[in-house]
Amino acid sequence: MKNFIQLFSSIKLALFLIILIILACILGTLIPQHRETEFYQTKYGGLAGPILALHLSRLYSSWWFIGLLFLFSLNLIVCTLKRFFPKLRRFQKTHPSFVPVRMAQCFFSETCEVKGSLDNTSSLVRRELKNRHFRIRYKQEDDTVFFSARKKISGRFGAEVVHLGLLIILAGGIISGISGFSSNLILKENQTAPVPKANFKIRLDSFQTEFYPDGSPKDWKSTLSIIRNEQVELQKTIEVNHPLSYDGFVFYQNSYGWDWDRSYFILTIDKPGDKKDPLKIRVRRDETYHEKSSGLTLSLSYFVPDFVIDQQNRIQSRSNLPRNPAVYIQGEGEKEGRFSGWLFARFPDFKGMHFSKETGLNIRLTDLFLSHYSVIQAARDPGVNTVWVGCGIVMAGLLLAFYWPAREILIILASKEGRTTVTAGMIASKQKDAAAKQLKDLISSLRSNT
Amino acid sequence: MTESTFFLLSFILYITAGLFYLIHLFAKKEYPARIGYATALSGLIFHTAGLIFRTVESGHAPFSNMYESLSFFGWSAVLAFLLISRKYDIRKAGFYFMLIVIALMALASSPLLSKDAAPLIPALQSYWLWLHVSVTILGEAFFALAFITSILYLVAEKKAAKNAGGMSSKKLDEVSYRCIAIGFPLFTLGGLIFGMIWAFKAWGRYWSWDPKETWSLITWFVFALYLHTRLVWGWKGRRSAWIAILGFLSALFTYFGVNYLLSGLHSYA
Repeated sequence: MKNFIQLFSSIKLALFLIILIILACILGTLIPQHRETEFYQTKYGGLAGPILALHLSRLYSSWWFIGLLFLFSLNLIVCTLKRFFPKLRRFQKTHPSFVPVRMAQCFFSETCEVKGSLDNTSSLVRRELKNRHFRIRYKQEDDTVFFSARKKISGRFGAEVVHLGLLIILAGGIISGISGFSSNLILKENQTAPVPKANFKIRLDSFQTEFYPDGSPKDWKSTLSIIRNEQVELQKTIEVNHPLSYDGFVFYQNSYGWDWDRSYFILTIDKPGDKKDPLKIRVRRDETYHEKSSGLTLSLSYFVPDFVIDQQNRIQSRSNLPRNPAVYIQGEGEKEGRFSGWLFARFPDFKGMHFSKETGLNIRLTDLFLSHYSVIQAARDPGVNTVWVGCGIVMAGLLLAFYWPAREILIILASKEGRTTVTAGMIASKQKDAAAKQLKDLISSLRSNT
Repeated sequence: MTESTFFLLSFILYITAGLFYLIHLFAKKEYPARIGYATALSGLIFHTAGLIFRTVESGHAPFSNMYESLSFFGWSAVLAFLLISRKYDIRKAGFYFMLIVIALMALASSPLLSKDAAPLIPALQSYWLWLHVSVTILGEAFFALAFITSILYLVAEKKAAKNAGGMSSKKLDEVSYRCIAIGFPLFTLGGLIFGMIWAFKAWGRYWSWDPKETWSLITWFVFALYLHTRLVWGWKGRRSAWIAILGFLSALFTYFGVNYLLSGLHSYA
């Protein structure tokens, strides 16, 4: 037990663990995380075996990384506690009787002689210290007065406060890891779905995508209703960065996709030599259209919102936005035979990937009505508030450590033949130059006021 | 006058300030440094005007793409330098530090980076964009200053002289520490805490081990090492300087490297 405490109270171990954590973190950013086994086999070849065996493919949730964080937390607790109590004793209020002993610990001290009597000087010292917001204790013994004055002593404990905050954040992380969860709900408009692990349901009332004038997406908005016992409890429109919180759950706008049941395309068919108005038909994806009079059948099997051909000659969608919508149709007619090709909404006359030459048919994609479904992420994270409390404590600790300099001034006044000798010392661990200047300043105002 | 005019004007003024600080290094006179300070300050004023123009023009915080964030990094670096100058005499470091500022401004004006004020993608539409990015970059600007003073420290030590361009090595070490004492709380607040809050609001998770998050944590740990070795073990001088240099390089990698070399959630900035 003693050895254990000794090991975990060492700063050396702390620094060693920090370096190990840094190295592990770097490794985790160099090896892509959470990919398929095949990905590592093709990318790393023979190294894939060790990578998978050491869980480097999901490093941050591997037993050894969690173990490293656990050892670090333990180290942090033992280190902080072991230093905290002796420090607390060291920075207890100094009883005036111990002023002479403590004077030896001052990093800076000065002695001078002033003219006034002991009583006058004593009250002057009290006034000057009070003006400087020091809390004062003093005691008179015959011809001597002992002062101990201090302020901002909490600044001594900044590091301990930071460590406490970090431990609280880690505790919050453990709570999140154990009991937090999130799952994606795919909702079409007016669809209701039960929320996992909750006793209420959620309904998507409407889903809208807003665009900037240049066509890039401005916002995705889902209007959600919380339904409990068939009653609408709450309705709110959520968007990216503005989730809905209800009963410990948070609902985020996560993504969206095409709802093929509600999307359809308008195709316009011109037949050569046909004087009638062009034929307009309405098809959905994977639906086959039959024209009775001519026996023509048409089916639409692919839709690409932002058609582009990449360097390997593969057809791709550059984005999820309908910037260059294209459909692939297949058809068969008595005269025309089998045919297939791509149609572009933006380029109706583009025939390069089209069959009009062979068949004489001119088919255009004249309109498209796209409907989306919305992906809502439902999450519950009971650890998150603990994490925020920890963050607040860390910040408070940092400010204490860097910007709340503790000051302790010790003064001994000794009277001799109507003159008073002032011995003053300053205890400070940070910004010592400023502290020394404060003491000099105090002494010079004592001198000038007597 | 448009935003790009202000940007160009401030860029020219920063270069001029750098030149005056260079003259100050060789001429044994005070006034070039004073002119350098005034020039850098006037550059900062024009730069501020440019950033305000940009904000009004685009309607969002001026750090939504690489050009904007580099320009803001340059602005923060000049601000950090001018603020520290008021407390410490770092005129001799002025030239070297202005080199960093000029590099940032030159990178921002590189033709490879789009200067268009593009509308904000949905994930960035939040006031946390202001808080998270501005505080983080301000913190990193102080790390940049500590980086320069630490390099100057190492140079001073190598020369076995007490001075690096006129600054004592003790002073350089102290300025490095003061900069980190300012930069570390800012980086903790802006980079990690505000980042976590925004991540929670936008993605539903405060920590995802995304490469940018992980590298911020690495940077934070490196500066934690700096502070602990210094305050507990009393490390100073060379060893501290090396840790400060590594810390800034790690911050720089978090800022640039992650975007270009690693992929993750922070794909936009």
